Amino acid sequence: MSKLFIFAIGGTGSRVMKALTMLLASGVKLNNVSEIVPIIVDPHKANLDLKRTEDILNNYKKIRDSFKPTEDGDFFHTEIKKLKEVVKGDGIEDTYAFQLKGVSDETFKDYIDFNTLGAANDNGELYGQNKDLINLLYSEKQLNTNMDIGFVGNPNIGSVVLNQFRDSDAFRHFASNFGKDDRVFIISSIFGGTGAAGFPILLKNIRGAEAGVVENPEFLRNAKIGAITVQPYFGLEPNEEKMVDKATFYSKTKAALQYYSRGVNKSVDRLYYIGDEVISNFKYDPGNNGQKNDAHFIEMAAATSIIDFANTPDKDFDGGQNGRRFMIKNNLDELNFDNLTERTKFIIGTALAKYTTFCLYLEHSLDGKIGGTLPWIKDTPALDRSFIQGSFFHSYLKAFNQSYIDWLNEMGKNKRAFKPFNLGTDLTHLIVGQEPKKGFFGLGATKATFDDVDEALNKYTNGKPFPSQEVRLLKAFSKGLDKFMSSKFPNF
Amino acid sequence: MENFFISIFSLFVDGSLLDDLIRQGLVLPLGFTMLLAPLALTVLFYAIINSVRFSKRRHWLLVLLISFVIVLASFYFTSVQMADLEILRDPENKEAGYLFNQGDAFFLSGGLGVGLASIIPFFLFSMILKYLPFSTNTRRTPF
Repeated sequence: MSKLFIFAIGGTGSRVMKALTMLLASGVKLNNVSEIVPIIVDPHKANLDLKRTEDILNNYKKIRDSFKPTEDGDFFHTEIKKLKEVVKGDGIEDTYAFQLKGVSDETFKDYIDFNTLGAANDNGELYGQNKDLINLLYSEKQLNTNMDIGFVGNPNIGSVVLNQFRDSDAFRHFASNFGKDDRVFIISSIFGGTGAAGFPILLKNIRGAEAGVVENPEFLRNAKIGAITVQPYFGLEPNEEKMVDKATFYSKTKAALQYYSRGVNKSVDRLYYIGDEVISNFKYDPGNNGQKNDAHFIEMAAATSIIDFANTPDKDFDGGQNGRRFMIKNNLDELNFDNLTERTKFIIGTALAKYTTFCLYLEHSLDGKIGGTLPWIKDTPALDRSFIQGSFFHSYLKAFNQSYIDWLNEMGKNKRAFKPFNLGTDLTHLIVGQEPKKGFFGLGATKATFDDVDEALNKYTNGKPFPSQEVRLLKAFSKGLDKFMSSKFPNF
Repeated sequence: MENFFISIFSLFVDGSLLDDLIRQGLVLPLGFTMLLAPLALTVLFYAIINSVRFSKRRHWLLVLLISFVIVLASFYFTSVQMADLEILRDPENKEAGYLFNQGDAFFLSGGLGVGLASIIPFFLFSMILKYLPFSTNTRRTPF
């Protein structure tokens, strides 16, 4: 099966990658790719969004390595690998993030050796006009921008610095190991610095792969490439010292879209557009604390574009209309599944409801049932106290699930809000807008409880062998919750 | 079968009372009660209710207690009813007294004994039924 290389550029790239990881953890299915390889491109190493995404990806991998899911719909079914794991060759760091060189503690002025531009060459000729050209293209403030906090909304800086990607070991190994059926997806925002600059450069380098530089350049030149370009969906709080001004977001977007229409759109097989007019302002904090934005519905919707791209068969990339937009049914400040299209709901609804139930069960119910008589817990290999205190459960799974719940909570309080679940102990009202199935003859409303979850899990696990405690736990919920959902929420 | 029940009853029931039970042909029905009550209740617990809400050890013990009480009560009240009938032990000799004239204490201790004996079939039926496919929620109860 083929790989999907995902280039997640900038802060938005990290956050969309996080959303995709959550969807994949919940068992959302990718049809035409068997594994994905995220490559996060962000010079801002202290960016907390990047750190959070890396932590989540690391936990995903730890969990999946123990679980080894085999069936469609299993939690963590899609394998997520680091570039180092899929390429042959040395020189790749063991991380999901691409390591940009020359950006740490360095100003843009230093990066381009600005001070030497006016120096005399060996023949005594001066090149001062080069400095003049640079001064024409960049303001003094931009030249003095310290790049370890990113390109802070300056795509003209990013377009220079990110060109190093082409000559990096990471790109060389990626290109040389790219298979005939592999695909590429690029996530970027259009209104910032890193993403807006990185997307065209990356695309140019992939489509312009040259023989002699990489093996099988035709694989890259002919690769199916998808991209999502995220238009403004958040703003920044007013701040005297800020280097990014939300007032420029729309003008930057307009300019970039015009450029894309001429030089980019034709090079991608599918280009997804997304943005929102309802926006909330985040605190601007590019320093050591890093930019940390609350998760946003737009990022989750953007992640569904990757699922759509992966699930599109090769024959459907016909070179015609390649643009796609994401639509909601109702223009409301707070969305739930009823406001999404049936197609989106079908792809992510049940999976997210199952994973949310799983998280809530582990948080509120499992502990009191360890050592009891529930067959799905007690059958060999039994889930015992030592298991739930072990590293798999405590360090990886609970940490991942906490990130998942945080992700839902953040989306729920953002603007525009996406609040599809009530995250309490009452499963009856788990899915916003959904009532559990009525009782006999339509009389009364039945409840949905953790006991109902146990019944579904007991039924699924009855008589089935499981090689390990990790597999028992995750398989039971992955498949057992199908029964719970269909019996309690048959109309969902 | 009757001999089997007699041998069990003889462990717990006063000899005179057991004689009366044999004489009135009550050993077989009370013996079957000692088997059928645990069977019915274990089937109810494992196959019919088979619910997570009632699958804990305390629920199993409660069902066991109910089975015990049914067996005890059936023995006790059967004996009491027979005593109330005032059947002459020897119709031609009134001084020989009545059947089941041993008194409540004997009835109760006999019932307790037979009830205790019913724990064994209850346990055996539990072990059999919990491994059958229908007991999805109770197959690890009591252990």
